[in-house]
Amino acid sequence: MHDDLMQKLSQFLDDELPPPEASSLLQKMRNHAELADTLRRYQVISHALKNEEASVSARPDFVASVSSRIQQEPTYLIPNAARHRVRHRRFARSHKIAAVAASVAVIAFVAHTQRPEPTGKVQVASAKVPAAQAASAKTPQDLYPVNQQINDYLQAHSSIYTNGQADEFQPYAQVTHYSQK
Amino acid sequence: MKSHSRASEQLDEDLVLRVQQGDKSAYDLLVIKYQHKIVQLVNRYVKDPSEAQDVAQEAFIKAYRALGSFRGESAFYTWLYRIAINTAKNYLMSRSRRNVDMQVDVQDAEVYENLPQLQGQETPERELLSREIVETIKTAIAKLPEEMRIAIMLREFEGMSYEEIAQAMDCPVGTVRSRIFRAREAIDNKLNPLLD
Repeated sequence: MHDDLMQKLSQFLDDELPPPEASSLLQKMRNHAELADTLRRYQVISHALKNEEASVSARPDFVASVSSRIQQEPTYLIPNAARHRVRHRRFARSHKIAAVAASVAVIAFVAHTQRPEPTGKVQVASAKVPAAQAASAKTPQDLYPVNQQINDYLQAHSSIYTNGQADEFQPYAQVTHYSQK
Repeated sequence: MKSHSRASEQLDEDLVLRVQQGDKSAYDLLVIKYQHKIVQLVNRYVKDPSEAQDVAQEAFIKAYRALGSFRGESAFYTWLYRIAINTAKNYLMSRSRRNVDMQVDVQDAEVYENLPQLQGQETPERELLSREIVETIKTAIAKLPEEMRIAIMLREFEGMSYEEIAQAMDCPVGTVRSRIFRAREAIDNKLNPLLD
């Protein structure tokens, strides 16, 4: 048998053979008993070197026996097996991202809640604001209501209307907004 | 040091996928790839090379039956090893139960004493052969040219990859590949007559 093939066998034993070549070598081993037997001896050598004892290896008819039993088993037909595996990995990855995001949120929340309370001085100063002035104080939401913000946003982004292209289809939000005007 | 390369795992993934898509012959390739390792692993538990063959076969059949639900969350070989270990343990438990049943049946103290227990079932002949194999390999290694001997020892004892050995020995990866192969070939030439 060619040295090249035997060298590949040695590489295969060391997990140093690229998958396509390894697959092709395994195919060859199915039909070449000598090749399979050489692999067995190489494994015996490897095991003996590591463990100081001779290894037990599978009988020459091992593969054939398993194969004949497998023939009696049902055949798998999972067409989406590859896609499922990819999806599973994406799912696992998205879980990791979600876990990191949740951790950041918890840390931010804890840090926020543990901030020192405002001092008494500030409370006293705010208490001195006249009642009339306090009543007339407006929050940013009072000054600039949310509805107004949405209207401004919709108008600012209503390029179709400003360009005069509103011929047929209009998003629901735009239609309701302009009809309310 | 790596234990199982990414390339090997990739090959396993491809073969598993082929089996899951209906190609039973791809499973033969997985059996070819892992048969010796699984028999070896099982033998560590059952300590009987002949029974190890049957238990290992059973493990491969169980793995095939479970392959439909294998999603690649762990590498195929670790999954297969787990199945093999569980199969071996179950076998030991059933063997132990069988022995207990026999003990109850015979109700004879002498027979009870002589019943095969879970200890190793190595025969003296097998042990002798094992020692002879190890000695032959050691002698063959000692006679190897230095560069071959170092290359194979770094691989087998240190578990280094070819790339790492190439760096350590300051030579191309191709040379490492060739040295390791030549070393194995030389040892195999000495070992072959013993194993035939």
